[in-house]
Order: sequence, then structure tokens, then C-alpha cells
Amino acid sequence: MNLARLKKKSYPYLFLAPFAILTLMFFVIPALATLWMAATNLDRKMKADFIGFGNFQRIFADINILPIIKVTLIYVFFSLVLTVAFSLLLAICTQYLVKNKKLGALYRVIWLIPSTMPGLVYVVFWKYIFNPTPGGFANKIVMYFGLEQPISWFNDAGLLIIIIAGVISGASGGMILFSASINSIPEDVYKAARVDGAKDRSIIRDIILPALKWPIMYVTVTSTIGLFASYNFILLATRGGPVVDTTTLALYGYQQAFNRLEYGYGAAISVIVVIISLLLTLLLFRLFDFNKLIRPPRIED
Amino acid sequence: MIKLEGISKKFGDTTALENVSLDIKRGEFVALLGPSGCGKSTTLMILAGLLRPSSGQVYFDGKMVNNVEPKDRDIGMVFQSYALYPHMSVIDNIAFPLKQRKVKKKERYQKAREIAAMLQIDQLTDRMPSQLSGGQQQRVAMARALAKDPLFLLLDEPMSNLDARLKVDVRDEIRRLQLKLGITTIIVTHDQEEAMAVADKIAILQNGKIQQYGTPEELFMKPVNLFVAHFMGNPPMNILKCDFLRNGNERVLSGEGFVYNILSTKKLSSEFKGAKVVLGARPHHIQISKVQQENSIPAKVVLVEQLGREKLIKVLLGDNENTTNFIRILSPTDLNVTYDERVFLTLDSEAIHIFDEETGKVIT
Ligand SMILES: Nc1ncnc2c1ncn2[C@@H]1O[C@H](COP(=O)(O)OP(=O)(O)O)[C@@H](O)[C@H]1O
Ligand SMILES: [Mg+2]
Repeated sequence: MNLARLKKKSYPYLFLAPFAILTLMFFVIPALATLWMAATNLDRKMKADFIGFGNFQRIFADINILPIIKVTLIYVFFSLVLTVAFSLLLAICTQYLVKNKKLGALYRVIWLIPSTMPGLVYVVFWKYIFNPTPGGFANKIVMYFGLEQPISWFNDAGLLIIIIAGVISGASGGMILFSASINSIPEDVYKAARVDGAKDRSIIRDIILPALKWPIMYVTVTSTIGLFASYNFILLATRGGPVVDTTTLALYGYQQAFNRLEYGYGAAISVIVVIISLLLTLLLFRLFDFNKLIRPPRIED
Repeated sequence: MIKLEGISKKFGDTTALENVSLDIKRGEFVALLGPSGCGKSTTLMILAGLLRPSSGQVYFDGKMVNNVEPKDRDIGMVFQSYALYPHMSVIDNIAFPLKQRKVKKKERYQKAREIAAMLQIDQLTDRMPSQLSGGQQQRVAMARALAKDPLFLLLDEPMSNLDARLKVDVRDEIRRLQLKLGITTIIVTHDQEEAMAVADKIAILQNGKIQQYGTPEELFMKPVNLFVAHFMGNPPMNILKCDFLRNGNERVLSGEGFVYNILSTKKLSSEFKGAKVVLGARPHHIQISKVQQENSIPAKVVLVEQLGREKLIKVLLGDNENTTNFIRILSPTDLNVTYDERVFLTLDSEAIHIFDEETGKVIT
């Protein structure tokens, strides 16, 4: 091989090298470190002994783990379904049902606000609304309507509030993606459907939803992974309480590692989180027939 | 029968259509012809009920249908982009209008398959639209439009996305189907050749107004104005600005590089009193001769193009070198002229058209 060809062949790799190094430093190495940590008993004494699957055995014996997995599955499932359904609803309403394009766009911008808020501000907002004292916004309302005692919202319905808050701020991403997909359906297709006698319901079911299959898959998969890994809002809102009523697996891992300084144990929990979301992602790919997406089109003559 | 009566359509301050009236008889094939942006599609959308006219009435079989929804107008429509439903197979696309009419599953697929067979796409019924060529998509769109046996077929530039050779096949096919089914059809096109080839009648539009409505022959032989004259025919009619001189009984046209006596037998509109006219002569109505004749126009050959069946010859008018008035002539291939040769042109007085330069209206 001559030098010129070698040079030409090596260009792509040269361009990729900086990013490969960054990925290595900030992704591969921490991931490997986590795996290693999960196999040690690293804790506040900062002394790491290799204990093999010891941490994982401990997880299965942990009395908190079952309720936490239950909370996690409820949290992920309902957040996911509601986020996707809600962003679909928003996209179809603002992009298709509302015929005034400007009004639809304005409405979408309004729905973007929660997701542009810094997380901390967003939590403060919800904590104000569901403040357990009589001065809280929700309590003012229920007490105006005759309730004697203020409700301790986060204690009684913490998970529900967390899910709703997450759905409201999380729906805008899917909404934007779905809107863009709906917008890319040519105007003539709607006209043809009207001539053919299709009603809104049929247009949504037969034309819009099929066009959204891959965007829906994308949002579902990324949301699943994101929901399994996220704990920020819960941490700031309830710290997982009362007891472990709002503790998800990711939050539990965080608490083990950074509150109780059981780094090894926390790492093992986060490995479990990764494994579960990986399995679910694969399952979702199956469900959405991912192979079809990457199959080349069959255009002849 | 379709009747448009005084239809106008405004989009904001642009007037897309102005006082358009049109009569279409049952079974007729009518072409809406005109340059891009003249309002053809708007007219079709109004017929389909996808747009509401700003004023005027649409009648189908004598009934006013201004407020009738597209689905209740009994129309089939083919869009320029075909507008196939991308996530449905060919057979589902064709059956879709029937499904909306609540036709039973078995029945509608049977009907869809019949139509597919008629359009020779029965071997493609399981494909998705993205797996079809342009010509195949066009057929599917036709099949979908015909599936519900509509009373009227509306076609919006159905062939503009096909290559030249396929275009000719498809337009013959459309005409054949239209005659076979006897379906009243309105086609939108900017291609005068296409319109002439398929239509019983042509309505020429410009700036949202119908310029002339008639048979292809009428439009070609008796254009009412300069626009129609120039738009119909390829290569287009030669257009020469000139002065109109009256000298006793003689009428003379005098322009840059030519003088032409209009034969006394040629009748002109008595209303015309002006002095500026435009002479129009079709390329095949001009004869080239190597010798001077009575009332002939001297010219110099600047281009000879072999078209196969005939020759396209471009000549500069006049004796001297510095004229810029040129015209195109179609002549038999056996005529031997070469570049730079001096020739003489004779115009068939009966076949020429004279237009008032100011109004563009024909005065012959
Ligand atoms: N939805 C619309 N909004 C504004 N102007 C339009 C719209 N549709 C058409 N027009 C205008 O109306 C005129 C006629 O358009 P159209 O009927 O599409 O022309 P054609 O089909 O002959 O090319 C054009 O000037 C076009 O810009
Ligand atoms: Mg058009």
C-alpha cells in the first residue's frame, strides 16, 4: 500500500480520534470503574477489597429492594405511557386539529416552558403548589372548598405528583419530535384523505399515527432509559420518602453511594439499573419491529 | 354536468381567480391550461370542495354545491404529488375510499383488485408506495381515484412528474380509460401539447381569468387574443410588432425589416381604428422561396435545425444586416437552405392573425 492511500484511509480515524479519546475518558473508563467498584466493598474507609458477586447477593437479600423495584416499575411505566400519550395528544392537537398554525405553534412554545426551567426552580414550583401547610397552593384550594385539615400531599401521593411533574416537563420533547413528523406529511395527503371521505379519526389512525411509528419508538426507548437512570427530581422533591415510598432504584443507588458512602454497593445497584433498562430497550426494539427500520427499501424499475 | 358561475378566489390580497365561468358537459374531458400560477389548481380545488370560492357558485348536475364537503361531491382526484398514503400498501391505498364508505372488507378488496387489474398494477398490490417507480405511483393514484366509481375525475398535473416518453404513454392511457368509462374528467396542465392530445375542450387561463374556452382546434386556429395565440402551438407562433397603414383600399403592415400587404379578401374587425398591431404567423404557415415573389419578405437564414420530419429554420427579417426581428419557420426537409443564405418569405394571408397591440385582442 502506498503512502497516499494510507493517508486517505487514515483520515476518518484521525477525525474520530479526539472524540474516541473523550468517550474513553468520560464514558468507557467510568463505566469500567463502576463495574469494578460493584465487585468490591469500597466504602467510607476508601479501602477496596474484591468480593466478587457479594454486593449482588446483598441486593437480593436487601429488604428494601422489592418495594423499591415495585416503585421503580410503577414510576417508569406510568411516566412512560403518560409522557408518550400526552406528547402525542399535544402534537396531534397543535399540529393537526388546530387549523391555525400560529396558534398551534404558540401553544407548543408554552408547553416548552417547563422543560426549559432549571430543575431546581421546577421542583420549588411543585413544592410550593403541594406545600403541606395551609399556605400551600393546593391546600388553599381544598380548604376553600371546606376541607378542615391541610393535606400532606407529598406524603400521601408523592409518587403521583412526581409522575405528573415529570410528564408535564417531559412531554414537550416528544411533542416537538411528533409535531415535526406530522408537519412533514405532505398537505396533499390530507387533501386526498378528505376527498376519499376520511374523518379526523381515520386520518389520525391511518395516516398520522403510522407516520409517527419511529418517532414514538425513539421517544419510548430514550424515555425508558432516561426514566430508569433519573433521580434528580425525586431527590429534591421527597428524597425518596416517606420511607422508600418514592425511592427508585437509581435513587437508591445514589443514596447508598453518596449518603451512606457505600460506593461498592451503590455501584452494584446502578449496574442492575443499567441491565434492566438494557433488557427493556431490547424488548422495545422487538416490539417496534426495529429490524424493519434498518431494512433497505425495495425499489425496482 | 358541471357549471362554474362567476367564481372568484382571493388569498389575502392576491386574486387567484377572477370571475371564472365554465360549462362542462357529462362525459367531456376538459383541460385547464395555463402557465404556472394562473389559478388552475385553485379552480380544481374549488371544484373538489377543498377550497371555498370567495364569490360565485359551483353547480353539479344543476345543484349548487358550494357548501358540500369534498367527500359528498362524488369526485375522484389525482394530485400532482400523487399523495399516496405512505404507510398503506397499494391495495389498501386503492381500497381506502371504499373503506371510508363502509363497504364490506371482502367487497372492497375485490373491487380494489379489479381496478388494479384495469390499470395493470395487479402484480404490485402488496408493495408500499415507497417501493414504486413514478409511473407506478401514478397508476395507483389513478386507481384510488377511480375506486369509488366517481361521477367526476379531477386530475392536477398528473403527468408532470413523469419522463417525456412515459408521459405520452400515460396520457394515451388516461384518455383511453376516460373514453371507456365515459367519466367526466377535468385535467390541469401547463403543457399545451398534453391538453391538445387528451381534451375535448380546453380552457386557457391567465392571471386567474379564462382567456378562451373551446375545442383544441378552435383555440389553435382562432385564438381570441395574443396570449392564447402564443401559448398554443410548439414552436410558438411568430409575433411581430408593426404599424398598420391604411392607404385607400390597401392595408399594409410595416415593421422592422418587413412590409406586408394584407390581401383585400381578408376581413378585419371594423371596430379597430388603431395604428399599432401585432402580426402573428405560425411557423408552418410561412413558405420559404429562393426567388423574390409578389408581397414576399426578404430574410437571411441564421439557423437550420433538422427535426426529423421537418426542418426548423430561423431567419432574420430584412435586407440590411442590422435588424433584430427574427422568426421561426417549419418547412419540409427537402428544402435546401444554408446558413447566411438570402431567402424570401411568403405568408398565407388566410392563416395569419392580427392583434391590436394595445388590447392584445384579435382583429382578424
Ligand atoms: N393557499 C394559498 N395561499 C396564498 N396564495 C395562494 C394559495 N394557493 C394559491 N395561491 C396563489 O394563487 C395563484 C394561483 O395558484 P395556483 O392555482 O396554484 O396556480 P397554478 O396551479 O395554475 O400554478 C398563485 O399566485 C398562488 O401564489
Ligand atoms: Mg398547480
